[in-house]
Amino acid sequence: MAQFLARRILFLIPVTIAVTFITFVITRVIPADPAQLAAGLRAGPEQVEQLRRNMGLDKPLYVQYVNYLKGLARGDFGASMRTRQPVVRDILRYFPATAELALVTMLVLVAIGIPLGALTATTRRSVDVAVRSVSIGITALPTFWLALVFQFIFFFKLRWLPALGQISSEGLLPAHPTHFYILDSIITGRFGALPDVLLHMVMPVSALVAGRLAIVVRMTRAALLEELRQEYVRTARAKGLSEFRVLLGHALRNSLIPIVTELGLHMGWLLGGAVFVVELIFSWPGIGLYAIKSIMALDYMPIMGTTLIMTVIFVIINLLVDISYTFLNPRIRY
Amino acid sequence: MLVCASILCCAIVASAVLAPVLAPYDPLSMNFADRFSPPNAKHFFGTDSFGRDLFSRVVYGTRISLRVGFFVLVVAMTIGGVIGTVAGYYGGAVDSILMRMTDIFFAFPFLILAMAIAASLGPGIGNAIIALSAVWWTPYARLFRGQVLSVREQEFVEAATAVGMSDFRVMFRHILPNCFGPIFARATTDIGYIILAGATLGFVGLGAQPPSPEWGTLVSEGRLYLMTSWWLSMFPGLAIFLTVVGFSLLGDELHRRLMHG
Amino acid sequence: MKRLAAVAIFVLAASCVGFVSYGVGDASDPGTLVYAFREPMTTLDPHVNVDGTLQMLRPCYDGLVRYKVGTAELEPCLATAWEVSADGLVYTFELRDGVRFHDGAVFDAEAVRVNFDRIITLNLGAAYLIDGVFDHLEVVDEDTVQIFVKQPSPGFIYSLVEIYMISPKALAEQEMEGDGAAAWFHENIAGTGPYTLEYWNPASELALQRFDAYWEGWEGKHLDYIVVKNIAELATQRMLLEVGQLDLIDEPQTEDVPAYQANPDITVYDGQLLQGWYITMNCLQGPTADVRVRRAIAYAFDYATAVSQLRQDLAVPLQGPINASNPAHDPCLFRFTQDLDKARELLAEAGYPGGGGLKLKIGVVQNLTFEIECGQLLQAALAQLGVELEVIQIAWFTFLEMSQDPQKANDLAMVSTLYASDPVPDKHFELYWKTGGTYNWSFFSSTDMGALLDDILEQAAVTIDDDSRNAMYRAAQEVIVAGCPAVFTVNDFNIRVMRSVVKGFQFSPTLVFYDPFYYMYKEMP
Repeated sequence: MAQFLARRILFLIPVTIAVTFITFVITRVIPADPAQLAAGLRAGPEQVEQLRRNMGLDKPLYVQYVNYLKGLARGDFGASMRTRQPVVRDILRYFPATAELALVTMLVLVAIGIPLGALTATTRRSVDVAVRSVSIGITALPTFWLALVFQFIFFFKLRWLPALGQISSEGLLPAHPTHFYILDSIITGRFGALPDVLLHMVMPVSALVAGRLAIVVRMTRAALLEELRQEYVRTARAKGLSEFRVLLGHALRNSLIPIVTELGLHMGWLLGGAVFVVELIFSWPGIGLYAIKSIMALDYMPIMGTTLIMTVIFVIINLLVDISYTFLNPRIRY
Repeated sequence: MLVCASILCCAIVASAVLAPVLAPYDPLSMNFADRFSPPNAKHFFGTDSFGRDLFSRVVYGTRISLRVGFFVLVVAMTIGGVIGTVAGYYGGAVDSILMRMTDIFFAFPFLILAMAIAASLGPGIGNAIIALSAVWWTPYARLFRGQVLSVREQEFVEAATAVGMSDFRVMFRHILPNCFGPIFARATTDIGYIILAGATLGFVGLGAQPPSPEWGTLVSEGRLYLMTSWWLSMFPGLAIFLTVVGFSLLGDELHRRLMHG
Repeated sequence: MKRLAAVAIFVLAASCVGFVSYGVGDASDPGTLVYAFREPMTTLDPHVNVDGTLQMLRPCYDGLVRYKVGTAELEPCLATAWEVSADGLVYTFELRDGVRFHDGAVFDAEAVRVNFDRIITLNLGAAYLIDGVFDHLEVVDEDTVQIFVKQPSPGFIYSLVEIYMISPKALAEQEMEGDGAAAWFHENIAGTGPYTLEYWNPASELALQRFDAYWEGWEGKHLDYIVVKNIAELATQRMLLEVGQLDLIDEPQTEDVPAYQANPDITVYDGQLLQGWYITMNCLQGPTADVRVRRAIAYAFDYATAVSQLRQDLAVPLQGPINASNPAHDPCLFRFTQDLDKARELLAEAGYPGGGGLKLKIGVVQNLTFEIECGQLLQAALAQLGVELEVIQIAWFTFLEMSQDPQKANDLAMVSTLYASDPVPDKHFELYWKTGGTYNWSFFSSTDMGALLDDILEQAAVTIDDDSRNAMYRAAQEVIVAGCPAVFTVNDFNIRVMRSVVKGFQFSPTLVFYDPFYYMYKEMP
């Protein structure tokens, strides 16, 4: 077990290097002058030169790369020219909003997707096909388009839900001990903020859940069907156990492994791109919005920083998923 | 189910092929007198800020989407196929290295990588295809490897090797053809999702350039006028939806049939 | 189950205890102005901030002088009077008495000195305003300072409008490792202006509150709070404005203006011709190096449609390089109108009969709708002449770099103007038309006309007398139009859109974003 863990953690190193190398190459291919950007549109040539030297841009590329890696080791991810802040600070500031969104989305996905998947695996053909088709239909809707439609109908036309952001006014929640708005409103006793925060999550979460629902349903269904074919299920049925108990007590539990693996993939999908456009449309101050704006502005450091962080997070999530196997299925040992 | 899905997909492909026939107007011709007209008999989907007919633009947009879907799929399957097959066949160190490499690419947040590539190479459909292909090949590498692993042990392969066939021939003439079933089904579903990803790039401004009528770009252009001219974002979005549904359902059905057939 | 219900009811009841309002209200509160910005505030430091978000700091900070509201005239602000020496090299300022900073520090000559020192040392943001002109500052006594400049500069006094005074007390107390308190001023405000910081969530919102001890006092109607929300999407901003959750948006689209005008709850303010757009043509390389080709393109563009359709008649055709509202503008300049026949003739003369397979590229800023539409308009027009024009969207910073390099620059590039409304447009000409100017994308200065232009501009920059200087600028404009380095497309009206309950707004004829927040208030029915 320890050996397995060690190997997987060591894997992070080549991943990190590969990611930094690839993003470094990509961002350096961009023909823009970061010194000019940092100095501002109206700066004179001497100011720009000065900044160029400060930023180390007059050195050859490989030296820049090595310096970047050295900086990473120190925890320095460089600075964003758009926000004029260290990238680490920006990422720490924007990340909790994305994390909150992703976690709530996962919760809802699991709460809706798994039961639906179980349903399709066990009912009549007609219901199975109907549910699956509907879920495929929902997931086929482009997430960005769905987000726009939601905003247009539920905010603009019906006024049921707020248009954007995490909260109506930051004044409602002055203190952020955890930076998770839901938790913060409870912890700091500002209960008035809680319904506001929850309402703000409805549309973004719905758009994201819709984008992945069919996949969760399909995977749950496949995993469950696989389990239901096993010998022990027949035995359980032969023993006279109710279908429900067979399902819940045995089949579902054992099919948790593939389902849990998929959770890691869903998280990857969310963090890997789905959150970006949703955050853009709802002005949700998360990593996705930060990344998109950085990409559009060709801001090197944030692009590299966010890609690196997201990749590492994804790898860690998968690692956690693998570890959880041992608890879910005692037969698997590393 | 299969029938419905197939009809839908055929309709989509047909509208791409027959675009000049189906589209009542030139998708690029501007007519300022008719700007922002809502859907009516003259313009089925209404017109945009330049007075261009939206229906024609959506129909021509099918070409772009299918082109993206097709090319990315072909490139992704080729790269993934080669890597996966070689890894699965040779096993050992080769397998390890190739799979580690695949894992690294797999770990990349897809959209951010695609965006970074498209942003650095410059916006445009060609670069969008490159960007998407760079990310899409990993699942195919794994798929092919998995298939190869299961087929490799079978007798006819042993026989072929015994007879003295070169590795290359064994791989490509014997193992691969037997892998195709599930991969083909997966590929069909994927076309839809590739088109969706391409549209997302277009929405963010990194796909096709104006005046090209790519669906994601159209939704993005329409977003600014959403409150008064809702049709501009609605119909291209619907087009994306129908395409993804069609190919997903088709792929799903194929998968079901090929697995149990 | 019962326990669950009890908890749920408790939470629900607790939340109904109310949205506790912490002073700052939302748009329905008559004392709060809610404003939307597309970009987040980068920094609260007025000596560092160089972008559009600087305008949100203006209510918090004062300079020595300021523009009189709604005019291009200067009036006293932190300086009550000033005079310039005969040789134009010494400016003497008398400072206002009894002014205090938000943190209680006293405003005096020493404070001014400390501020200028900081600006020069940091050499960011505001420094460019006085670069090359400012020499040094001397404290004469508690209420008087003298600023020495390197050469006479008519524009210098105007640039002081944007040199803001920060509290020397905060500077001294919050200084860390010689950073000039940059870290502290990044997220805090200590100025002399009417508003100060309430809270700042850099990702989403900035709130300013009234500073009771403001030197100008609070007689009359004023706002208590100003909230700036960061909303990335124009469409979302528009929705919120229509619904009444926003009071004011920064850059409305002209396409939406008719809809806004039709809404009784929204007022559209237009006036003052502030922003010019033109298409530069490469005078150094490629087919556009030939002045006949350039003139042909200038004859091809559909100016009327650009004004009436793309700008909804909220603009006029741009006449020459600077705005019509500028005192230095020459009203007699020649202006091109669309004449495809003349264009064809010129193309044929230049060696491209019937278009002759000419292929050109125009660069426009990515996602900037107007530029894209203009590019497409020109594309359609040139297509009629048999010329193929490719419209390329480029990210802003890449664009900036490419366009300055004659090797990489596109044949045409769309550009919008800055400073063309300054009473002394020296900076504008320097940036856009002089050799080495950051926006000299036409490389006009490399032509004979261009060299002549450089001479005229250099002279004008040091001419103090307004009339002679403006005469020189008129000559400069003639030279530019004659050499035809650009297609001058439209001169936009400055448009601001806000809810009708917002009163007291006036345009500034000189700065595009210079909202007089102190004079604004809301009158709810």
